[in-house]
Amino acid sequence: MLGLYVTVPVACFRKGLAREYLETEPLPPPATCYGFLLSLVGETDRRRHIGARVAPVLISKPATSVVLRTVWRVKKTPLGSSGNTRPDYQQLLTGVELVIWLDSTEEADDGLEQRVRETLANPATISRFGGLSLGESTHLVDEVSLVTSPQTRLADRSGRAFLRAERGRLTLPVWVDHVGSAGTRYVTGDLVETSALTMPLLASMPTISPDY
Amino acid sequence: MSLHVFANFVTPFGTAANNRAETEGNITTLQKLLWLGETHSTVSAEAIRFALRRRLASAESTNREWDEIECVNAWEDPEFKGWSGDKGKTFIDDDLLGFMKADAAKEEGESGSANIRRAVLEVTRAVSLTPWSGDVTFNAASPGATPSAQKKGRNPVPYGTEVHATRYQYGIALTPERLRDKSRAAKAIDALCNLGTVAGNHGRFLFDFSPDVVVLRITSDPAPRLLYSFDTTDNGKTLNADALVKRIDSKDINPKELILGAGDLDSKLVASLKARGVAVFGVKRACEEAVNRINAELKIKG
Repeated sequence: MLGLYVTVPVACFRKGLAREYLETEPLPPPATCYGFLLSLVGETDRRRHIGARVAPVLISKPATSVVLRTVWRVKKTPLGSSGNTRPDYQQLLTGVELVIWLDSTEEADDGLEQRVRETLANPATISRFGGLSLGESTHLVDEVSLVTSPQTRLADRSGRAFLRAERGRLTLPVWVDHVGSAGTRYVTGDLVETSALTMPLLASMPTISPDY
Repeated sequence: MSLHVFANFVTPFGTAANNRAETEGNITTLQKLLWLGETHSTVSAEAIRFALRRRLASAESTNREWDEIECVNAWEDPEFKGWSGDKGKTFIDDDLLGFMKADAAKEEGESGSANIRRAVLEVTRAVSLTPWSGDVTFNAASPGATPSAQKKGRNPVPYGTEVHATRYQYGIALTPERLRDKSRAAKAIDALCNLGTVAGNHGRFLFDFSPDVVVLRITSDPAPRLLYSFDTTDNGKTLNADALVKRIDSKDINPKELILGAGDLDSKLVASLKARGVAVFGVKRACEEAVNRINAELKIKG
């Protein structure tokens, strides 16, 4: 298992069913973290690391703001027609700091965990593209570093981890169907108080899978 | 390896107004967000991208062009057909800023289709360097000057405008090898260094987004580590980059990867980064240096 310290200065982890008012989840769902990790290592096949376990821990207290933004809906052609854009409110989080725990023991060989480790150790050997973001593409990640224990700057930090719980109070996606939503899969869990450097139990970490 | 170009831009000091928030009564409001515990004004990444697209049009023809008279976007190739083959005609704005055209399913139960190109150049939201103190100006539109003034007959129409005297900072990330035409990376850097107007009060108002200070990082590291790294201790008069200096001192960032462009080469900011081995130039020269380094890495003749 490895832990990554990740900062995102401005973010919105949009709720899948939010429409006119673009609400944010309190922290990035496992599926969003998985997409970020794939982008980090330059993997374009999203099925490549099914079976990886991902648990996000929010270790800051981000402020929530609301802005008005342009949202595109193509109702008529040509694309530039009036009516294809409309203003909608969006929640934004500022000052997001996370620890993302990743485990690949249930994956096939050459798991995501090992690839992330290699990427951070030798970034010059990796072929990848696009800004590294969590959520929307403009919500760029600023810092990514390996959580090594003892890491002094995180030693006194605590946060809230999203961990599986059969009768939990938060439901987040572990697989997103981008065409429609019939194939989107969720896990139920709770936000559990924990210290930043405490590894979660493997069984409580959500598994990335399209087959729940 | 993949080459990553990151930058953090800071605008000159100016008065910003009417940044596309929703009007409240007779007040035109600023967009705001909570930033480090205080209210700051903000300009969306979309507004910056819009200005950038216009600027890029002076380098090459763009697919999307804003029609000032009809107030709509006009597309040269709305189906993005040029991207279907390797030799098709592509436009600089699609190459850098990406596109998406989604079609719904024709029949119930079938999947829709989408033609998507992910942006190669990502832009973050701009955030004011200083908190917004609540400044509002009082104005009066002349009789008949606006549609609402016309309704008031011969009387002027009073209105208020929230304004913010400040600087803004925002970041970019670019992976030039992903471009169809790699020489467009240089054009993007050049356009960002000469950006001009972004959002604001339409024809009545200019807030200059061409950078007063810029720090660029050309690296194989996928994380920028310099976003929003500028700060001020004198309400925006001068800048410091303490967060960036700490990153250099802790060896998170190799100073050789950095290029600083600054309007004031005698500032403490310049001295602190120069002492750590960062290459320092004026803003335009710094952008030229970045373009030269990118072109050398990609083996492109400038």
